[in-house]
Amino acid sequence: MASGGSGSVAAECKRNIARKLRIRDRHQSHRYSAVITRYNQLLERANVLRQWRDVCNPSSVPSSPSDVSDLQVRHQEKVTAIHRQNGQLAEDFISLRKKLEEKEPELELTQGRMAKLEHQREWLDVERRKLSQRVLTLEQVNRSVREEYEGLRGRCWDWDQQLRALEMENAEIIRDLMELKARAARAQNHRIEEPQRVQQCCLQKDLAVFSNTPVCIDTDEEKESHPPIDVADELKMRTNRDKLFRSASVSLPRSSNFLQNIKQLFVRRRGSSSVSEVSDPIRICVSATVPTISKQCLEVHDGEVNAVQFSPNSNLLATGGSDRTIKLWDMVRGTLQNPKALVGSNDGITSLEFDPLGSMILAGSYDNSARLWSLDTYELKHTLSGHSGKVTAAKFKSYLRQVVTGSYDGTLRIWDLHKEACVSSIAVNSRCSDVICSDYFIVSGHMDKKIRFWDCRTQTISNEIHLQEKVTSLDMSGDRTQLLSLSRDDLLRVMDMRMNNVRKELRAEGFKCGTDWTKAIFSPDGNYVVSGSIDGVLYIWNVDTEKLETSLVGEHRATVNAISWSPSGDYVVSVDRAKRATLWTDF
Amino acid sequence: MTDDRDVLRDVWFGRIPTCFTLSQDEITEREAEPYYLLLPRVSYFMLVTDKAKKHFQKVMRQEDVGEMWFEYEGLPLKWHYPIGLLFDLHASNTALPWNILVHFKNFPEKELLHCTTKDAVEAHFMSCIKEADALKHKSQVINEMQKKDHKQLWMGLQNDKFDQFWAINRKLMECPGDEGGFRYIPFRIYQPLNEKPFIQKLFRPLSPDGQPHSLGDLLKEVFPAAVPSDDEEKPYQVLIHGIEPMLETPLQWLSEHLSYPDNFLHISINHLSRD
Amino acid sequence: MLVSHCMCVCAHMYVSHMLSLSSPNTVDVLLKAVGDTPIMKQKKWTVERSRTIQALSLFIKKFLKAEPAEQLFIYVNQSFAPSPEQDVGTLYQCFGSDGKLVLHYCKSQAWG
Repeated sequence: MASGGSGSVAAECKRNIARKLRIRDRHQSHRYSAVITRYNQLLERANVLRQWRDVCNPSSVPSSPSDVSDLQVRHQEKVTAIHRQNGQLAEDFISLRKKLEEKEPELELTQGRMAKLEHQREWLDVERRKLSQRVLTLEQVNRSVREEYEGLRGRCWDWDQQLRALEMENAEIIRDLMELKARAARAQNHRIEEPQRVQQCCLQKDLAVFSNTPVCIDTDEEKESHPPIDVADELKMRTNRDKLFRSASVSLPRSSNFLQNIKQLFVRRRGSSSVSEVSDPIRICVSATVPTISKQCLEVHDGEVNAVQFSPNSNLLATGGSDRTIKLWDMVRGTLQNPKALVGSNDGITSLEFDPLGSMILAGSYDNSARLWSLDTYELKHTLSGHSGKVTAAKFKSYLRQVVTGSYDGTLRIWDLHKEACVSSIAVNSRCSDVICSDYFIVSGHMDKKIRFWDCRTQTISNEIHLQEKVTSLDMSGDRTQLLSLSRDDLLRVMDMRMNNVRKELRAEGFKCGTDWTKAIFSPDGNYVVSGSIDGVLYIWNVDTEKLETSLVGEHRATVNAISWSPSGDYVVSVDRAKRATLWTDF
Repeated sequence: MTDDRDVLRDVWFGRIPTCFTLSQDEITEREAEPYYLLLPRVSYFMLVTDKAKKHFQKVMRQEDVGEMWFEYEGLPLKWHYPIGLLFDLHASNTALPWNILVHFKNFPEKELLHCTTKDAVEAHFMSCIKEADALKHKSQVINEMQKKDHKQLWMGLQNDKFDQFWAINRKLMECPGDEGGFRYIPFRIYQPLNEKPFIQKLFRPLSPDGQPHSLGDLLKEVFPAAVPSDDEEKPYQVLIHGIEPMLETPLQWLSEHLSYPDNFLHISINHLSRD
Repeated sequence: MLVSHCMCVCAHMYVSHMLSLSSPNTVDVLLKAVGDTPIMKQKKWTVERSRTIQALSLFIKKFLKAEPAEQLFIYVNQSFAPSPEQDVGTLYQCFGSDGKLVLHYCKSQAWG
C-alpha cells in the first residue's frame, strides 16, 4: 500500500496533527474552563440570592414612591383577585357538597343491594360446597360399588369356569354311565336271548334233522310231526313278543347261574305239558293246622330272603331274595327240594305272588320294576317298569288280567298284561310298603302311617285309616272280608273291609316288628294270623280270641322277613334275613 | 495506535469558550448578565444552549420570548453547521472568548432555517451521516445498521458520550480490506464569504495506481488556490477543527480521524489578510 | 453580499420543457413522488445548478398547490435528505446517475 517514505511522512503528519490539537486545546479550552465554571457558579449564587431577596422583600425594586404605590395597587389587585378566587372556590365547594349529599342515599341503596347480593353469593357458595361434597361422596360410593362389582364378576367368572369344568366332567361321567348301561343292557339282552338263541339253534338243528328224515304221510304221524314245528313257531312268536316287551334294566348281569339256568330250563321243558292247561286243581283249605315244629331249615338264597310264597296248589314254594333270583322249591313229602332259579331281575326281590292258576309268578323288585315269569317255561315273560322307586308289592288284580304295583316312589300303578303297559298311575304321595287287591278296592299301606283304600269304581281314595306307626304289611283273608295290617308299633290290626274300621288288635309280648317290610299273613282259613319277630321267633295269634296262640322258636337267627302258609294249611314257611327258610309243620 | 485514539478524543472533546450576550433589542425586566459556556466543537448550537436560554429567559417576560437565534458580528449563525466549523469560519483569528449575541425576536427567515425542536437537529444529523456513507460505502454500512444503532449515534452526540458514539461510528469508518479506502471521501469546503455554501465533489482516497491521496491532492483538485506553490506565501488558511494539518497528510486517514460526528470533513479555508 | 441572494427563491424559476439536454449550467432532475404524495404531472425538469434544494422544495409545493408552510421532504438516492441550502449542481455531481439527479419527494418523512 503505502511505501516506507510515505509511511513515515504520514506518521509525521499524524504526529503533527496530534500536537496541534493539543496546542489548540491549551489555548482555547484549558485557559477558560476554570474561569467559566467559577463565573457560572457566581451567577447561580446571585440568582439564588435574588430569589431570596424577592421572597423576603416583595418590593424588589423600591426605587420611587410612585413605584411603591404602583406596587401597592398591583398588590391590591392581586389581593382582590385572590379574594374573588376564594369566593369562587367557596361556591364550588358548596355546590359540590350538595351534590355529594344527594348522592349519599343512592350510595346507601346500592350498598344495601350489594350486601344482599353478597349474602346471596355466600349462601350459594355454601350450597355449592355442599353439593360438591355430595358429589365426592357419591363418587366414592360409586367407586367402591364398582370395585365390588369387579370382584364379584371375577369370582363369577371363576365359578363359571368351575361350572364348565364340572359340566364337562358330568357329561363324561354320564357318557361313561350310558356306555356302561348300554353294555349292561346288551349283556342282559344277550343273556336273556341266549337260551332262546340256543333253543333256536337246537330247533333248527332238529328241523334240519327232521327235514332230512323221510316223512310218512299218515294221519297219525302228521300229528306227531307237526307239534315240533308248532312248538318251534310258537316259541318263535313268543320270543318275538317277549323281545318287544323287554325294557332296559339297570343292574349288572350275573353270569354264574347262567349255564345252570339254561340247563334247568331245558330239563324242565322236556318234562312239562303245554302252556294253557291247568296243571293241578287248586285245593281250597277248610281249616289250617297250627304248626308246632320246624321240619326243615335251610339256606335258600345268597342274601336276605325278602319274600316267600306257596303256589296255589301248595306244591311249589317260591322264595325271593336280595340275590336277585326267585327259587322255586318242590314240596315233596314235606320237604323242600329241587330248587330252580328264575333269573331276570336286576335287583333284589321284594314280593312274590302266584297267579290264581299257578301259571305265572309275579315279583316286585328293587330295580323299580315288577316281573312276570311263566311257570311252564320258567322264562321271564313281562317286565313292568315305570316306577321311579323300588317296587315293594306287586299283586294280581283279580279277574282283569291286571297287575297292581306299589312302590317307594309314592305311586300305585295298574298294569294291563294284554297291552303290556301301565294303564293308570295313582299318586299317593307316600312310600307304599304293601298292596292288596280286592274286588273293587286297592288297599295300600304306607310309610306315612296310613292305609289308603282306592275305589276302582270311583277312581278316588275312598278311605284312609291312620295308624300310629308305619304300615309294613297288608294281607287279606281268603274270604276277602278282613284286612290284616302290621305296623311298626308292633301291633297287628284286623279290619273289616266293608266297614273299614279296626275290629281287632293283636299284640304279643316279645313280638317286635323287625323291619319296614316285615310281613304278617292270615292263615288260609282266616282263623289265625302269623308273623315273624325281630328275634326270629314266629308268633301265631288266634283271630277270634285275639290271643297269642303259640310262638315258634326255630333256627332263625335274624329277623323274619316274610311267611307263607300253604293253601293246604299244613305248612308254614318263614324266611329271614340270614338267608334261611324254615319249614314248620305240625307233624 | 494510541496516537490515533488520542486524536479521536482530542477532536471529540474540543471546546470553544463562548460568551453569550443578550441583544440590546430584547426587552428585559432587568439587565441580563452575559452567559459563558465552553461549547463543544463537534456539536450543534441547538443542543448545547439550553442553559443559556434559561438564563436569559429569567430576565425576560414570557410573551417576549420567541425562537432563539444567534448572531456573530451581524451574521446569523446557521444552527445546522457544527459549532467548530462556524468558529473556524468566522472567528478563528479573533480574540477569545467568542462573543455571540442572543436574539429572541426578529427571526431572520431568509437566512436561517427554523429549528423548533431537537428532532430537526437529529434529522439533519442523520441525513448527513447517510449522505457521507452514500459516498463512502454506497450506503451499504449505514443501511445494514439497525434503527437502534442510528439512535445510539445520535444519543452519543447529544449526551457527549465518546465511547457510546464511537462504538457504532467505527463501523462507518471501516473500509473493505482490498479497497484500501473509502469509495469517495465525504468532505465539504467552506469559505467565509461565498455565494455557494460549500464545495462538495467526488474524490477518491486512492489514485488510480493505488497511491493514497493527500490533503494537498484534494485541494489541488478542488481548490487549487489553497495550495501554495513553493515561492508564494500561504494565501489561505486551511482549517480543520481549528488546526492546519500538513498538506501531506493522507486523506483517508484524515477522513477516518478528523471527520466530524456527521462523518464529513468540514474544511474551512480562510483568506489570510495581510494586515 | 451574495449570501442572501442564494436564499431569494420564489421569484425566478427557469424551466425548459423542451430542452432536455443539460448545459454546464443546468442539470436534469427527475422528481418522483413517495407514498400518497400527489404525483407531479411533469416529472423531468432541467434546473440551474445553483438552485437550492429549498427553492426546489418551494417550487414543488407550488406545483402541487400545497401551502409553503407545509412540510416537504426531499431525498437523494432514497437514503438521505440533503440540507436545504445545498445546490442541485453539487448533488448532481456527487449523486447523479445516467445523466440525471433522481429526487424523491414526500409530505412525510420516508427515509428519515
